[in-house]
Amino acid sequence: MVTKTKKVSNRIKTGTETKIFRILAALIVVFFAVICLLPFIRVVSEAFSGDTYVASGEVILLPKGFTTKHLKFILDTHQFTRAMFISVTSTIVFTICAIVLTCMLAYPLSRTYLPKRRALMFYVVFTMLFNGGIVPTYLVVKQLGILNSFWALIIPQVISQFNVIVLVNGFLGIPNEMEESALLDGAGQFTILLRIMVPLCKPTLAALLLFYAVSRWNGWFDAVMYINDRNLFPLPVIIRDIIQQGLDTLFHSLTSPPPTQAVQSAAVIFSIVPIIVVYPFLQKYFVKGVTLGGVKG
Amino acid sequence: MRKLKTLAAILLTLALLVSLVGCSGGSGSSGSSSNPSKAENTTETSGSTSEETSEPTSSGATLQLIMPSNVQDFPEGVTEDNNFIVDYWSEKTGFKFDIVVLPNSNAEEKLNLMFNGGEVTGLVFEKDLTAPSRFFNQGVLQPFDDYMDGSFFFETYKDYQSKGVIDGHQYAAMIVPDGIPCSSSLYVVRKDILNGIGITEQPADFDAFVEMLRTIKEKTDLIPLGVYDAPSNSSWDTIAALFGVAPTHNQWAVRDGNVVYRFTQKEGYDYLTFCKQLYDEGLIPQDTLSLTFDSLTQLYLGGQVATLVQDSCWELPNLMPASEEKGYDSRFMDYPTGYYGQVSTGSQDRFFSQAIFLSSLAKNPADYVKMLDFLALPETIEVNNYGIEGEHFTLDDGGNRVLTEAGENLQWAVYYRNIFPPEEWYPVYGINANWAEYYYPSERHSVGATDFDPVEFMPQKAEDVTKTDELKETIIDQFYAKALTGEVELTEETFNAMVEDWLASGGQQIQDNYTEQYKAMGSPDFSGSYISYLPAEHPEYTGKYLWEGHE
Amino acid sequence: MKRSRSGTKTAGPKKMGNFRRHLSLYMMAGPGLLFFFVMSYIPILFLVVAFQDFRVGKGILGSDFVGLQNFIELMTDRMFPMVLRNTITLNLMKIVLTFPMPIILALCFNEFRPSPWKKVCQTVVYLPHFFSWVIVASMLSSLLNLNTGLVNMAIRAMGGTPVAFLTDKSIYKMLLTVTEIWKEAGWGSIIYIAALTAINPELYEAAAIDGAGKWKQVWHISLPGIRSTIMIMLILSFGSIVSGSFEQVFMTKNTAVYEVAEIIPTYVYTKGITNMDISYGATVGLFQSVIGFILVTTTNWLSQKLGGDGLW
Repeated sequence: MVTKTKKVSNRIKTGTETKIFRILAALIVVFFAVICLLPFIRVVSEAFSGDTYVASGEVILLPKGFTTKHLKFILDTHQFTRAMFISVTSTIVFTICAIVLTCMLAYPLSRTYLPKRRALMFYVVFTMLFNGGIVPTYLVVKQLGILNSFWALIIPQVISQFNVIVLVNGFLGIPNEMEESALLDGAGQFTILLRIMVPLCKPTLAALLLFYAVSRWNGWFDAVMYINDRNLFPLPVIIRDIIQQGLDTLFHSLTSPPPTQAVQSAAVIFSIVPIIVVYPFLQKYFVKGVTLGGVKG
Repeated sequence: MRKLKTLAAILLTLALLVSLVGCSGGSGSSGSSSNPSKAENTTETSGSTSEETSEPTSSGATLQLIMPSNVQDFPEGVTEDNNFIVDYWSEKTGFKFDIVVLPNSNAEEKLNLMFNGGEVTGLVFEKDLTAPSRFFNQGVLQPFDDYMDGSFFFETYKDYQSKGVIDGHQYAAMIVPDGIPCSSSLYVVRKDILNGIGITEQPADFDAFVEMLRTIKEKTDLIPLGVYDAPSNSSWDTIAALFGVAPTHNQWAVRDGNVVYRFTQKEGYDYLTFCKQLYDEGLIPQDTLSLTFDSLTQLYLGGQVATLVQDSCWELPNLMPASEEKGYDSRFMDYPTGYYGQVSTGSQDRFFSQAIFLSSLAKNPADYVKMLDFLALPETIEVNNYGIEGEHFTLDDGGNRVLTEAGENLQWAVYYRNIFPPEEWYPVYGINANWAEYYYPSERHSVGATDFDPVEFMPQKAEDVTKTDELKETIIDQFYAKALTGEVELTEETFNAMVEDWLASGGQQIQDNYTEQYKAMGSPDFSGSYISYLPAEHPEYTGKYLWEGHE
Repeated sequence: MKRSRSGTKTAGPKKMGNFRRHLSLYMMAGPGLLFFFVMSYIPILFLVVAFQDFRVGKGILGSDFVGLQNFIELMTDRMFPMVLRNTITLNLMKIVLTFPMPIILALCFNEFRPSPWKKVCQTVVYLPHFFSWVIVASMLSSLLNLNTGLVNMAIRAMGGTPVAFLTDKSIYKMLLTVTEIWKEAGWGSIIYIAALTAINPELYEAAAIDGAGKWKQVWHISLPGIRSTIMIMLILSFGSIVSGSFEQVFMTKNTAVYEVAEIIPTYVYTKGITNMDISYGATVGLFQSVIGFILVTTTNWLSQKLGGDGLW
């Protein structure tokens, strides 16, 4: 009798506490979303606003003097299609290679029974802390013979140590029983990786996929350093050039007007578009309980 | 087992070191498969198609030319190696060309990497005039000394070449100014506001100028003068010019035969005192130190600032039309006479447009000098800068060039316009492109300037320039900024203490170096260098933004 | 979830089986390990130029060896104490203040079931990550300017005196932290959101039945569940304590706040690092790496000592 009442009163307590907690959580999320959204709206508005309004800082939240010329400037530049093509293909190829290689490296490093595992982890982590700099990296890329080629966008950065560490951690979180039962069934390591580990790590892998894709899509410095051929430049490089044209306004062509400062805001749209497009597909992996399909009890 | 492992590790490390050394710049030619092999690196007898009249038979070698970066794009169908200009060059010289255009951003890093990778084998055209010194320090250049005799280029431009002498040898070939030697800064004023408070004449001297600012403050609620950053920053150039101090270029001066740094002289102190006065009287924005050109532009276009000082005319094609759209009457104001009663002139620069230097890996320096000779020929200059007669321009009755439509779309040719006599600048860029409306008003102010900066004309070591910049940011800018707001009390003592600090931290040494160099040159007088090249007849330039308006 | 090191020393047929298992694992890791060997370790050897007076024309073998002279020059530089102090201060502020934010955000998101709202909010909070610091700097300016800033206009409207936010040194330091939070908390929460999904929902149910309130659930289930992720991120952020974001400071600093703003990456730029002084660049890099390494190793060891996981 006493316990029942206690349980009931506890439940009531938890009820209000849950409510308060959830309201607090909602407030935090909404607050954050608002302060992130407003500047974004402003930047997008600037991208569609007339030059004078942008230059005089009058665009607060909504566009003024609506114009699409900034966006058109980027879209109409003759290198746009080519650069877009390079960006899309390099992002896809890069992400696939990156995820595959990361999985292949992270899985063995997550098997605690592997001899010298810790040494290998150290081997990887060490490279996060010590960096030779752009000169020797450039020389290595040169020696590999991939300078000024499509592969210069893929190979030099194809595995990120941070992502490896995260994935190792993810694999470590999968209970031993999964692996052992598969081994008992006579499965080889590659099969285990593919059939068991990967499906169980979907949220982490989705996150890593996002990280790799975004880093390649927005990356421009390595393209500038390793590539000379204009036909191989990804989109951010082209856009940076256009922005520069907008800043050195005296360098305009005689027959068509130059881009202006506002083109910088239009450029932001291009860096964000992929995530807005791709993220909804990945979001379904960020759901609780996805990993626990395999083992019960 | 242990020993074997250690041995293996040592051997491996050695092997890696060797391989790394092997690919670093000191040895080897440029990587074969990795380079964009647009042309072979071998000498071959060329199938030269032209009837060569002026040039002796050339080796037909492939010359690598590295051009400075620019914002201009190559249009469809035109690449850096494949256009009418390069075709013309090949035809006339028999050389083949491997043109490399540095990227628009991070060009310096790219060039560094290329040198490290042994990929630079020819001539480099650099806008940064300290680049030859930098690369000389790295031991990757070869001088032109042995090839200067009889060279048309070096003969024609021999007056300019002393700036390119490093360690007694001609490591850099200096090119004439590609344009106006006297670009400087501007006052942009709201003539409508000034008229509204009864000011119809430009202030002629220093006192009238200050009076004007005070009147604006008294009779309107606008901030009289818009400047940004510390007083030693380039945006203050026009104000500093009133005291003979120059933040943008010309930081050095000759006083009593010695080369001194203007910010550390009495003029600097007087100037800083005046700036503080401006701040204390509320004649400039109170947050000047954190403003940028963009935020200042917003203030101006927002109608909160009556006068804007601008350190270069490059930004103005955005500002002036925007100001017009807002209904303001913005004009360029002439410089008033300076504080000491002197003619105040702004910073002058661009006495040399580029420095050309040659990689030590070039196996045929004679060919490269021949190329320079070719580029210096008037016919070549015409093709580079205007195009082919008949195709890109025609000549009218007065002998003036009239551009055709094809000729108006040659912005990409800027990469090839390296030798560009100043007389050509206005006709090609200044007037036709409407730039003169902004450029000439700024140029006017430094025409006839006599207080020159000797260092502009001397060879400069990269270390000295870097050190000067570093000391400026850490000592000069900091003191000028703090004195402005009163964070540090401005007295002769504190100012002198700052100067002492500057001298002791490396300033003295640089100053002595420059003085010694200047005297060794014979203490020349460069004050005749500030002239204008605006053609006598210039109907396209109207001067509409000058106070007086259309000419 | 710590796993114990199991059998490396088993005899007989199991040994063969183990060996084959291990071999295939090594082969799987091979390409990745080779990648780091080529792209990281070989370049690391180049750092020997920090002990040289490196000239490109002479190469590594031909350049003079100068021992620790470059390091001594670095540390006796006039500005070095100030720059180092700024770097460490700013990074410590970041660790203390910005580090918890993505975690808090992820925990908040975790409260809600998947819904269109949740999806939209999650996407929205990532957006600032995609702004360049150039744009953020100009936004800050239009927000906080003395005369035209929105905040000051609001203050004026309410009858107060406007504040010059951007020239104030202490405000600038806070600003760096706050903008960092705004910009990266959303993106940084992704990793924690992913980690939180791996926690068994049954744990929450069981706890709720036992009468544990939300706070207790977070403290006893959520946080421990993502502890390894948190530890990794924390250890790594200690590793970059003498590094720092070049872009953020370079774009937002001004002369008034220079004394507290200049950090090692921007100072190196002020000194003209693109001046092709490769030895100097390597010296600074090595300096940062060694300190970062010491810190990472220490915190890693500490973390393991306290019963948690380490990076290796």
